[in-house]
Amino acid sequence: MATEIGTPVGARHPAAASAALIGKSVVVKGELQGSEDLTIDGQVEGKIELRDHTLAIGAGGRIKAQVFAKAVVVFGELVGNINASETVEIRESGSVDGDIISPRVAIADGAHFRGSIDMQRKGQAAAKGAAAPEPPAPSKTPPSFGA
Amino acid sequence: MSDGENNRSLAGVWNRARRLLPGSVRLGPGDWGADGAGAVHLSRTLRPFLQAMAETPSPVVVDLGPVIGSNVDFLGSRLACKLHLEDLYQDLDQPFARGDGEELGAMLAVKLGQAPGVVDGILAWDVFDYVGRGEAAALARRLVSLLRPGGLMMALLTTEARHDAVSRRYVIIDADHLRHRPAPGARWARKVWPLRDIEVLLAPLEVHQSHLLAHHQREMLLRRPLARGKEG
Repeated sequence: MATEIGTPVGARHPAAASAALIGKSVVVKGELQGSEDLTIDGQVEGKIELRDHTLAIGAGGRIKAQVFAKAVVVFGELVGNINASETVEIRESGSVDGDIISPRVAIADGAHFRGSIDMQRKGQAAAKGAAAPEPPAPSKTPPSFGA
Repeated sequence: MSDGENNRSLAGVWNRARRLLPGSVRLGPGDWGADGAGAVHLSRTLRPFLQAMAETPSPVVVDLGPVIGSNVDFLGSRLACKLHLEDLYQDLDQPFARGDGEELGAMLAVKLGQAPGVVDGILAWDVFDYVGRGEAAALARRLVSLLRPGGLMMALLTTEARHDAVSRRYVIIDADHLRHRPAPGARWARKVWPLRDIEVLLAPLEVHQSHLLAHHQREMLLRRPLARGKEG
């Protein structure tokens, strides 16, 4: 039950309100896979795959893992890379050491982050990899930076 | 003319000059704005920097400042870039960063571990204000090596030596404005780099744009030259 969690993640993040829960006294080492939203308030080491769902790491969560999910919300600590197809949010109490690949990343003031953020849209990275490090060719419709 | 009159006259000239110089749109009195959130100042180089990155397919950008969520959001939504966040400010207050640059150089090789010539743009902010010549040389060597030919570095350089109790974080408001937000720091003596020295320091980067702004800052956009035969 969400009320048993030290920090009720669900109260702050709607996506985690009805999520499965790994409580704060639980330690998992290995690979976690699922097809539903998951909230972790305990410790996980290894790999977490929730390809089409949301992973919420509660304030008590301590994760050392590679994470694959649709969306990731971090209130606790995560050491490892995140690959999220939609969004990554690092809240004020959150800490992430690792690289993030996601089209949308939100980092709250006060949050800790160390690493790189790849916000390239699908297909862009492949195009970049194929191109030699030549000077940029002006695109036909470059984004405008109007005030 | 008495000294007092002379001073008032000079102050008047300076105030008129400030109004004419490009630059300042302070929100309130004082360096940090009325609410302490930091004054908003005009930026002359951010727009061309962003424009160049936008014209680069999948740009790779290195940000040497502290992690600022709104900057990440801004850069991500406008550029869809790969952003490397390396907060050098927290390292520059470490004892090893006050040496001759050798230790700092070794640290930078690890921290800025990207392959040479793969970075399209570097947001150096005002990091050079806070380092001595030795450290600056080590930092410059590393940053220059990261930039690909045609890549850009945006640097902000103070034009007045001062000792602030705080450092500055630069929050992107839009393509033309930066908020200079105060941030705690232990010792933040800011030095003035003569223009010629910074050009030598960052060679072979070329000065693409240089703007002297009213808020005691020079903004520079430096560009790594294209390889021979690629110009034009």
